[in-house]
Amino acid sequence: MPTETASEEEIRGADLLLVGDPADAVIQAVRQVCHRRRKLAKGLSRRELARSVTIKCDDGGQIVEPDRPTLLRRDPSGGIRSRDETFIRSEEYAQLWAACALMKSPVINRPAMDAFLDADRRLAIVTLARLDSGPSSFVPDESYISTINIQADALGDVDNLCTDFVVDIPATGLPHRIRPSASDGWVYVQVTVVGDRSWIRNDSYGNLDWLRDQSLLVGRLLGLQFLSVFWRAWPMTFRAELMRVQTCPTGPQLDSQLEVVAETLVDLLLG
Amino acid sequence: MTVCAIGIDTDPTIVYFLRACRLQGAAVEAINLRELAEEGDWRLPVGKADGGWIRSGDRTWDLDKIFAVYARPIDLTGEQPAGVLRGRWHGLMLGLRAWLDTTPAVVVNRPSGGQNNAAKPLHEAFLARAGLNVPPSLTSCDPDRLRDFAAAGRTVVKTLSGIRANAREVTAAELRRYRRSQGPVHLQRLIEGDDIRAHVIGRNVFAVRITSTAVDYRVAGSSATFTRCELPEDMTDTLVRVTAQMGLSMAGWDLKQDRSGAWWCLEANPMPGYSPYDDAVGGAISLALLNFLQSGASAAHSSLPRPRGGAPTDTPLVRLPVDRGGRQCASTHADSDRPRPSLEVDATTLIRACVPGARVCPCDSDAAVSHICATLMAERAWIDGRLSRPARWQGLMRREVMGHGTPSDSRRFRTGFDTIAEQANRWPDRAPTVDTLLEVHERLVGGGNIRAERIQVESGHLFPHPGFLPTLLADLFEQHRSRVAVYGPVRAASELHVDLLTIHAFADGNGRTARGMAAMELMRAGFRSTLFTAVEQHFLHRTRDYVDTLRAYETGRICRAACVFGIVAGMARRSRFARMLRMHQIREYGDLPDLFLKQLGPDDQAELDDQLTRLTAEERDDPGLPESTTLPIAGTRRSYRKE
Repeated sequence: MPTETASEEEIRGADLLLVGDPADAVIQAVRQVCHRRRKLAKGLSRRELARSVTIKCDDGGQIVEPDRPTLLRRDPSGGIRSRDETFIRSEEYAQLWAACALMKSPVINRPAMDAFLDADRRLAIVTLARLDSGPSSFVPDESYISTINIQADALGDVDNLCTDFVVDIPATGLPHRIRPSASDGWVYVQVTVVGDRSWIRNDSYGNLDWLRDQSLLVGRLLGLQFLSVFWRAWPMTFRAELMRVQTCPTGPQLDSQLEVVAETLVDLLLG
Repeated sequence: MTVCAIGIDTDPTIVYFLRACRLQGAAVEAINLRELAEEGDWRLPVGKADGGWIRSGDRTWDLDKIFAVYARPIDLTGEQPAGVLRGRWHGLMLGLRAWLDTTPAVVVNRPSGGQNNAAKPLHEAFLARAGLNVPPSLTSCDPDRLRDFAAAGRTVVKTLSGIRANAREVTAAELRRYRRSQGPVHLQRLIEGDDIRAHVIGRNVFAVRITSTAVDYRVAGSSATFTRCELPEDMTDTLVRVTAQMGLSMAGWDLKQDRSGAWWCLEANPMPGYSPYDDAVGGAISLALLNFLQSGASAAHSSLPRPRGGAPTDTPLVRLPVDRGGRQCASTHADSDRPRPSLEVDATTLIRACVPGARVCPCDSDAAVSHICATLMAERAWIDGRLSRPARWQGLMRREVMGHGTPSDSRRFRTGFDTIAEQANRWPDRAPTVDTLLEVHERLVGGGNIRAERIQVESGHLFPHPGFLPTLLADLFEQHRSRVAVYGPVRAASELHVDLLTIHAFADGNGRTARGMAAMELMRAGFRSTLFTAVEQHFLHRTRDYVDTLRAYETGRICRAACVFGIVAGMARRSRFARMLRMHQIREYGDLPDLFLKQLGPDDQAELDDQLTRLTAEERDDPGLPESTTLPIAGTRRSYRKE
């Protein structure tokens, strides 16, 4: 169980900060890479980081102390909180966002000045949908509806977005996110991006390299260095629809690519 | 072409905006998220998808036909108990934000704009990088660093996140009790000087200077004064530029000007609650916002495909007559060409004049209103002098209490009026509140309870939903305190009078209560004879004008400024008789302080007789005055349809 504060000296002395759940497979893989390379990786929760950094803004600009290379991952979610706890969480979240955005050291994935994409997975699709060109042409026609009453592929309820298509829609009375049914002949493709490298998880469907370029473009447009992009692709016609952007890919999603991804992440963070 | 406002019914800002639109005769449709979440249905498309709609109550909106939106998507998900309703709120807010962010319609503001305001250190860094002068700050959980910062100069503590809380000054000593477990703290160097709130809408900037001794003027109440001001041109340009950089069409900027004259920027609010500031700029913010939405909607409507992203870049600047302190007027003639409106203005004249292009336009006659108010204030000093007990006045001075409905109604009104007069006399510093209103209603009419039913009059006009009333009234009395400071008591009392009638907070007796509140406010300001009875006398002597003017406003045939002008002019007409009425009181009843009696010579007696003769003739000729001594109260009451 992580403590709620971390020593500033410990953080200052670390080569790398691994922020998130200690049980996270990606954090564990990165820690092993650091160990092999004799680099000191300090693991801490988001709350610990928020409570350990100081942000100074004055005539000299903005300074975050301590300022170390950081891999920013998710914490396990909290559960029901009191109003006081909710308030403190909001304050810590704001501090985390500001600190990671303003650090001069490399941060993966660094929050943007105008958005913390990590906060809302749907935001990535919305952000891309706002663009006038490029991947916006791949964004499917999605709608949020109050009740299911049309024939469509549904993506589960809006709060529990999953990559699997839900055929039997539960009659919960809750709103859903839907998109039109697709014609046959499509395959489901996951492309993981780290910096300017990419890996296609299920490339047995043939030459899908053209999706690599589009996935790298998605990463650049969203300002993310580490993400998985899920496509519904028609390999025969070089057509694809963007299904989902995972801003915090999990160990099971990375599967056999986990080790090489971890190596690449450490390369990016430590230069 | 549909322009709509989306928000919740308890949000005073959106209620205020919709009211302003109604007064301008603008067709803006209101979508209440609370009703939508509880009872409605929706299909909110993202990106390229078409065919979206919203259905609430008996209305259905086709989203493809909505060209401009004023959105205040306040999320009440957390306020709902766990269950389906909570899920509906959550799903609705996700979909609504996605639609607002991707629809080609003009949206003020898209939810993705100005997000860094929810992380204050980041927001301040953004502002500093954009070229604004931002006070030094420190954000930390380190007690030593926090104490050191606070010890180095006057310091303010604020929330880091978007959660609203009042800022307050903090000392190093207070921070000794701070523990890391309380979470990070955001400290900022306190800037001594006036606050300036500037609202940017497109390329328009409206600034208000707030003078207050409080660190956060929002908690200062009536001691804070709001005055319209101008910003330096380079500051105006910067605010417009940075607002656009933040992806916003509208922003509420919190600025400070220190004692050396230097400007500081505290923050830019992406969803500003602008209503408290709108009054100080004569309604210009509402009007600019409406103009922005309508211009954008027109541009989007006329040039397909509709533009993506923010507002049209060619949205015209709104030219407002704010330099004269007035609100926007539809009139287009030159100022030099504008005759001063006559006091002899009835409702018909106002309706004819309050139209675009009119040469005599009372809607734009703030200078005339100010002149009348100043004259009345001067008369007050001369006529009212040392008078201090209005309840002792008799005869014509008290005509207003001659009759109100049944004898029992009349007795209650007379007694109640005397009581509130005494209270206003005794405690002139007590600014009215909602509780005061309830007390006045209880005394004058009986009841003292806000109505719980919806009220529609025969003409079809529907008064505000009872759910809005607490917010509307609280907002009104807050505005009233500012108006007293900015415009003085006469105009403030008149506006209070008009607004109380517009809100119609009670099931019955709204007119009596509104006139009683206006009279009480005048008495609080020291009026005794001059205007003490003028509101009631206006009602009594020119009933038809009084009622018709208010109805013309209620039904949108004249604007609010014209209505206020009509009321003030009516009061001024009656004040002409104040001196004479006072003489009549002296002659018939005596019982007044002796200052004025000593000045009354034989010539004055002759003048008094002459004036009384003329008064009698005028009253006889006035179509609003009945021949009998019973007031035509039944004629002024409306038939209500309560729902």
